[in-house]
Amino acid sequence: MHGAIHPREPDGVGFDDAAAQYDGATHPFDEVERLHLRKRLVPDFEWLDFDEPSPRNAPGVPLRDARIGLVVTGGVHVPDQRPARTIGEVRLVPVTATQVRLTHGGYDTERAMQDPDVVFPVRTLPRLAEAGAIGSVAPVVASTMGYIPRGVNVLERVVPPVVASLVAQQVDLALLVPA
Amino acid sequence: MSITQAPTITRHARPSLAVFVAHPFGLTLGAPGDDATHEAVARTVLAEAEREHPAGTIVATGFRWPDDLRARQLRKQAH
Repeated sequence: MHGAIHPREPDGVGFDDAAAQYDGATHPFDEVERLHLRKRLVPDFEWLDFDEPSPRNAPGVPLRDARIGLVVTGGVHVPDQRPARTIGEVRLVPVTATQVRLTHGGYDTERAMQDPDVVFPVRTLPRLAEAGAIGSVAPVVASTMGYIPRGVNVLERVVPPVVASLVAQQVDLALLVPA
Repeated sequence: MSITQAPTITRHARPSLAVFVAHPFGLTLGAPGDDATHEAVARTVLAEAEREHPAGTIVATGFRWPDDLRARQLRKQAH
């Protein structure tokens, strides 16, 4: 798409999702997911691929001084926010929010609601800041609901507001936590 | 940078840097209430930001799940 294809690591080295049983055959998990989505929800689903990785932009400060911007895909929102939808939407959630909801069809949200920190680590990251491991945590978390079948919607509808939020908060390092 | 629980999927998106944590979907940082594991995962992941990894690297970690929930999720036999 954008130039030379970079050589990749051998598939499956060190990763347990390289082979999974599904529908009587063994597939890498991305193929399991593709087949599952095609069968159940999106008959023409295909992964969006990129020829090259996103470039690394090293933080300009040591980690112990870095402001960390949290991005989550677990469908986190506060009670008076409408949940983010599969078309690709972002909800901005204060890191100090005392009550959140998890709205996402792709994982057990009831289990995660026992302790939302499992997919929304707003208790863990401030503890790291208190311990001096990181500098600080940006006050607003960008949350989306990660089941967005059309990859182009992620690029066009999710990425811009997430980037805007991170830039406005002058983060040194963005951390994306999937669900 | 990103945490990933599914490197074969992450390879499509090709983020600048991803760190693989073999926890079940919906339990990314660890079990509910297991603050020690949540913190260990966060520390381990963030530490990779200061290492000289080429763009597109997926770093493997030693985090594993004690039962078969993740394995069943990968087979679409659990939520």
